[in-house]
Amino acid sequence: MTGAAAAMPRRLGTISRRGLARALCWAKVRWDAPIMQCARLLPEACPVLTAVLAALTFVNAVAPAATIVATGLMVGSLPATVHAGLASAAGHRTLMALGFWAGLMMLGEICPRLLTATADSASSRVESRVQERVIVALNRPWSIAHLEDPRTADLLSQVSGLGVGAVGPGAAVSALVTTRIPMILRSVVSGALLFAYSWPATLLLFAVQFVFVRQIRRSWVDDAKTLLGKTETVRRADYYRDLALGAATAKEMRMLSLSDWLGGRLEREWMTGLLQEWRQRRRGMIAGVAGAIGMSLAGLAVYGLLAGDAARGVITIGALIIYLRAAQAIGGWGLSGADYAIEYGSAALPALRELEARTADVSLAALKTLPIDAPSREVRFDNVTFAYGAGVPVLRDLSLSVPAGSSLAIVGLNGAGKTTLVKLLARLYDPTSGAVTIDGVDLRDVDPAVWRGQVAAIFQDFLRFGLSARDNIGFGGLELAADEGALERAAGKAGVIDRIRALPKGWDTPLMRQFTDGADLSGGEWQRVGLARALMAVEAGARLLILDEPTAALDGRAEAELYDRFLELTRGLTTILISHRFSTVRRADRICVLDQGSVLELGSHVELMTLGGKYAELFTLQSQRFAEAEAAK
Amino acid sequence: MTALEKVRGAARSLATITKLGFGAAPARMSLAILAELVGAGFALGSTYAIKFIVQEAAARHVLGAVWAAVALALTAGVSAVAYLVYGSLAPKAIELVTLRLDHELIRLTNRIPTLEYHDRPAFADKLALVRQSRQALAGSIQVIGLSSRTALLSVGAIAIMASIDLRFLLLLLFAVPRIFAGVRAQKLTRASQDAYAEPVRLRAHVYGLVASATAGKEIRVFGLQKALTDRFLGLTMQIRRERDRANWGGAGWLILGDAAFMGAYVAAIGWVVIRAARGEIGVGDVVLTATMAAVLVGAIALVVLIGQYLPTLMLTIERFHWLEDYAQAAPEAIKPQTPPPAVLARGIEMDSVSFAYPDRDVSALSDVSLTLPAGGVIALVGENGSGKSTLVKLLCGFYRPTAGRMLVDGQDLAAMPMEAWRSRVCATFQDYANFELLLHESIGVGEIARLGRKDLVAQALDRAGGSALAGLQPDGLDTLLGRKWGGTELSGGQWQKLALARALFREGPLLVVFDEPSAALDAAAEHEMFARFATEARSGAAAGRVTLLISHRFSTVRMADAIAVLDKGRLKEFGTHKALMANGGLYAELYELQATGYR
Repeated sequence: MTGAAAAMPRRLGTISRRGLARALCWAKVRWDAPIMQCARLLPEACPVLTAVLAALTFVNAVAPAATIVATGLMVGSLPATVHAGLASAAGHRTLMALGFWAGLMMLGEICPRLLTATADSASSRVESRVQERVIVALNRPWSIAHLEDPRTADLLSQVSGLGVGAVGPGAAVSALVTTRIPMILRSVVSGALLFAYSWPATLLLFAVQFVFVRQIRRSWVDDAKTLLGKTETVRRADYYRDLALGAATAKEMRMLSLSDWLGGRLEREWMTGLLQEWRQRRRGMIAGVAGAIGMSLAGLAVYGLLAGDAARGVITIGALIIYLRAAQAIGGWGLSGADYAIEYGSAALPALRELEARTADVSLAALKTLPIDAPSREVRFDNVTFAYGAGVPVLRDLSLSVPAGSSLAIVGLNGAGKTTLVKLLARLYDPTSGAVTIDGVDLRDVDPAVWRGQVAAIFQDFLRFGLSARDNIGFGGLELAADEGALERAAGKAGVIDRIRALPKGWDTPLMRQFTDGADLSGGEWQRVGLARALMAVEAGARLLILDEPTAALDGRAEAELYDRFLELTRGLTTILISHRFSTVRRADRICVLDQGSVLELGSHVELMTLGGKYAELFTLQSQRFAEAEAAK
Repeated sequence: MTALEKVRGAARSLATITKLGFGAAPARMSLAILAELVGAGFALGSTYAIKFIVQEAAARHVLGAVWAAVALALTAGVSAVAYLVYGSLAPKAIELVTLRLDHELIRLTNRIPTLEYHDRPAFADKLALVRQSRQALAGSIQVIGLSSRTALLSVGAIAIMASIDLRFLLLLLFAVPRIFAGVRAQKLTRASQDAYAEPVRLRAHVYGLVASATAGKEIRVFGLQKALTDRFLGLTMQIRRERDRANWGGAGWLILGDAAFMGAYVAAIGWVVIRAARGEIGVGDVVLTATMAAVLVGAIALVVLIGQYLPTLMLTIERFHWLEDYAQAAPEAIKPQTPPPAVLARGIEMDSVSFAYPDRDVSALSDVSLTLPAGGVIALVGENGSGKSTLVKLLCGFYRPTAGRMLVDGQDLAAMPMEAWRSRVCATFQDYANFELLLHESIGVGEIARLGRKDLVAQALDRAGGSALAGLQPDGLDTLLGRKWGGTELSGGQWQKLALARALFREGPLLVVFDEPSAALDAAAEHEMFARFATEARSGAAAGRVTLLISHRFSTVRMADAIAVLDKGRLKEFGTHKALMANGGLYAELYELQATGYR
């Protein structure tokens, strides 16, 4: 007996602790729900607008309830006024209620308008904020491995919006603040009014409502989840559309008549996702309809009770109207129609978080810095092996030394690993094993930003910024971007200065015609711009120049002109040149023949020709056709 | 634009949307509209039920009041169910319509035989806009349901109000400023959209750069991370200013319009209340009119919304119509049409052909007369911008000559059905596309009818000098290409071999075009390819096949039967390698330039 009595509070304690733990757990789950993550972006993206939104939301919730009360008071006072006339005290009450009612009606009309406008501004800020965070996250890693990871592409697709309509976080925030929150608040305020009439009736309506809302929401949550699992399918459908409609593939589409086939593929990809969604939505709809029937049954009970009470005189006509409208307003919540936008749009947030987690900084502790003239002795590859991800090694146990100030040309068959070697040198990747060292310092121990300050590069697939000529070249050396002289020198050496001067707005002309005053450059001109960008980096102090097929888009004459100045361009620099054209390769101090990811031959043109190996064979292949021609002459 | 034209335009837009919606999802559209109508009708009914509850309660009729309450619960319930059904049907209908639109866009875009959007930025912009608005266009089918609901609600609300007092109809006059305000707001929105269209495009470009691995290399090497983020933020601010101005300005207009209508409405109710106070009308009518306020205001808001939405929608649909008309108006082949010959007997002749790109003053080709004899291998050389690629585009039928004629065995190319002609041409372009599909599909799309024939794919790959690719890790011909799918990425040279194999996959072409076939190939691959080239060209010679080769590499060029040298759009020299060398002109000069590199 005493034992049991003593156990009681303990058990109660356990229960309440367990209850507390469960409540906390529930709260945490809710707090981490995508839409909550989305909502937390609001104060982050626009604190002032968020405060305005909060105030407007509050007014927006209270005004309709107050209107209900005013309507009730107005109508309720009417019988007495009919009896005593407008000039009486009852008449004054009627007029006063009318005045209130009128004011509230105006407020109730204007406030949602302001709310919508504010939400529109806020949602576009949220959308930009998300994109800004994506940019920051994508730019953070020193390597580019994450940009080649399909998971990153999945996440980017999710961040940009879900579903055929690409519903994004802005739409979710907008639905939340203009629809869901006001509806819930209105329900609660109305519930408080009805509570004065009958608490069981209020609880009944709320309970049914809760089940109803949950059912509908859950179906959309499942729907969004299904779609998230199909991101790759969606990306593939997008890819087919791009192929069919993009300008880059326009010629092939017409030559090969691929449009029908691609349309079929596009539809197939979409359908695999959609069919499952439709099944889920149908289940959701059935649950929703069941809920709505439950709601109207509960409504039937409450309305009937109210009508009976009023007819029997238990409550006044005014009170009847207040309670009736309040009971109706409780049910509005489940019909807001906001769930679709909220569940689809907020899916961007977990994707953003995952992206940020995946690109979080790898600690770059104890970093060494390099002297500003590095490399001053040599650039060295020590037994470097490298594979992309888990793939086949592209470079195998490669060792190579480039003395500072000299030029090295790399030749090799397609897929021999030339470009990969250059990527390791710019530290866009780290070797899988072995090391790249600069004057004896392992690149892994150097701050990538510091090292890249020493590197100038033009890649095979160099960039075409849709920005001004100034940006396109100035981006090579940001710290010199204001230095017109440096820009002119870089453009001059690359042989593109005359073209830039002839542009409609000179250096400030955007280099894409889609932009106002923009101009299109030819492939060869673009390549010179890319080269000028690399030379701008040299102006800014870079000491290692990487030229990966820098003349592929130039014609014979232009190429010859450029290489005639090869020595001038590379004076004092350590230069790595990749080219298929042996007539240019031979100008380098040394030539390295790559085969299957390792060094096959290394030496000057004369040495390698004497050696009579692979290089000599390849060179002869190209030159003999000229030689034959000479002979034929 | 006159008011009549506007109305006509709106009607046409609605017709297009209706066709689109009912075409793609007839059952769903009908059900959705039905659900909208039922929902609206029963919503009106429940307003009426409230009036009866109050009336019966005031008259102390307990049973009557309870029955009215039952009616309220039922009407509200039906309305809610209808709403839910609609909410579930609408997204599906939109999804189906989006798919239909994708098909339509692909069909229409690819019906345009020319490549204007390739070469003309303004056109590309317009096409991009159509593409971007496809979702808005699909979403617009909701307008049909919305319009039906609005019509029912407005008519119902007005009828109920008029049943109390005909003078309520005067209220409709006050909807005019409301509609006017809506139009003003819409104008602001459109103006701002025009103003920020370019920054939006630029911002998307910057965003795309940051997300691409290609750009990622240079962004890191040159340390552009911050510069690009700043650029992005700057553009965002610029867009935001424009958007906010339109947004708040529009809200201001709408609030004014709202105030005008609500003022009138509130005055009307005040008058009703005073009449009720005088005992002239019943209390139930007061409740009804007061409740009706919400319905009527809602209905007018919907009218305004639709009114506001329609111009945007019409703009979107106009763009779509523009594309439709454009594809329709594409130059049809001259009648009577002649199919391409089975074999070439004479060859392809260019008869004083001139061509200027639309919107450009300078001619890309001027008065070029050239014969590509049947069975011949012709090389085309010239410096950057000399018109080589343009000539290829004319041969492929992407453009018609501005002057002169192209003759295939004496038949005008313009009189040939383009699709039929193109099915007899195989071409690799300088900027060939990389199809990131399965390896065998990437080649098989060269002749879609034979897609899946891996044996033929292997042959084509072999002929393109890429037989090593057939053993590509991990799945050989079934290897998925492209890193964006987690597939295998190829090097530039490997992609080029694939493009060649794709061209060679075609059976029995009359014209084979190789534009810079070896730019990304290594020396050995190039050599091997040329050896094959010669065999390929000779093997087709019997069928009269013409091979056209464009290259900067003069060592390749000299194996052609004849060489055409283009200079600034004109045919400068034409003849065999020997003759041209002896001639000592441009060709000899360019040849010498390259040959010295190998001495």
